[in-house]
Amino acid sequence: MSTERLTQLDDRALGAALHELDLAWPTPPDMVDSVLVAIKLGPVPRPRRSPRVRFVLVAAAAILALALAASAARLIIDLGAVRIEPIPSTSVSLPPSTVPIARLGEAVSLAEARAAVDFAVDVPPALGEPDRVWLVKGTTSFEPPEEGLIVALAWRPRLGLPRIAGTPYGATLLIFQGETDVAVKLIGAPIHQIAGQLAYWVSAPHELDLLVGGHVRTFRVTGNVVLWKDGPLVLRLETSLPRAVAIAIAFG
Amino acid sequence: MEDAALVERARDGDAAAFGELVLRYRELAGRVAQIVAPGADIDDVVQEALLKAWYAFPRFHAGAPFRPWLCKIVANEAKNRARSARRRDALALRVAAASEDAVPSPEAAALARDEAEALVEAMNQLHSDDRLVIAYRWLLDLRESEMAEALDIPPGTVKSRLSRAMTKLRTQLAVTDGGEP
Repeated sequence: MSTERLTQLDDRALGAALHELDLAWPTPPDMVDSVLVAIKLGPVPRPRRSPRVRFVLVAAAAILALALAASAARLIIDLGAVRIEPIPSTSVSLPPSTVPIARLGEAVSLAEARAAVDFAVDVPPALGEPDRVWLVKGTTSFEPPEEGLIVALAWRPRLGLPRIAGTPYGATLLIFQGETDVAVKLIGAPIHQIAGQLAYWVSAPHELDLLVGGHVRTFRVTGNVVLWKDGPLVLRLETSLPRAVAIAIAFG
Repeated sequence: MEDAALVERARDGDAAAFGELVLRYRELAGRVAQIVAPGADIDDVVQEALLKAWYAFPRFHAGAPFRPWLCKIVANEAKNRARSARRRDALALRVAAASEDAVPSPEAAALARDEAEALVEAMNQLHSDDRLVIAYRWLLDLRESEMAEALDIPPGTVKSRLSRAMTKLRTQLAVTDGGEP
């Protein structure tokens, strides 16, 4: 079936198929004269309103102003290669799908990962040597393609490090290099800034877009996440631990 | 005369210069309105948006690109109209009538048409926000910086917004085909 071929295409190829569509667009409206006449006539004066209606409108405007102020507080947070973007919680519609790091990158040893990158791959002392390490190349499908390197480390569950729901791990650490967005967290719950740090704590289920190869892969994250910036790097630690313990591991 | 010069004149109150801009961008404006609010009166949406652009010129940053700024105004006007559009089943996109040109065989023509119709149907089923971001990139050829301006989002968010919309398009294609998303 023709749609099966289309669903297999990456973003660029699917976009090219869209670009080649011969579409029946509406005939461009012939309105230069009517627009110029309307400009000449000037703006339409607003009708006067009764005092009662004015009160309702003022109250509505005040409520709108409060709503706008509240939404302005939900700022997009740019941590370099990782962007946190609040979205309405009703938009989180994907079924659970944890980050399958093993399928995204190349499995390597910690020494090989350190040799492959030009930044420090520091392991949180409280976690010790990771059980698995991968190198993941994040690239965007936009022209020109841009790359960001991700080092992924994982630790198996053990005493004091319970399993992250839906994953075989007790902790995962992603280290992002660069300023180009290769990951976007879409948050339907409040983000808490960690006092005194360029760091954030996200405890609710949320979505993570990873830009890998020619695709964006979207995952539903079930663990608690600490995100922080360290110089040119952004680090993301996911565990099922409570906030104070996770932060102590991240900054220990 | 280049857009920048026309915009400068229009900002100074030159209605004739604005008329030239209307002529250049009415097709794009109509397409944006169609994508966002297919059930609305497109001519009315475009005319109202153009008037709003004229009155908003004092706030337009000198030297900024006109095309995405106008797209943003048209899209906002179209969204306002979409809420009260009478025809809620109107289609945003339609495949053009079959051409007699250059298709190697009837089978290839049929396959091409099938795919085109499936793609258009899937686009029509998307939320207008997703349809618009895809259309900006792949149907209306806006650059990333222009998309950011037209969508009023940071440039770094454009890529993820587009990719998420493309993922939804793929999902919709699978649904259209009768399969699992």
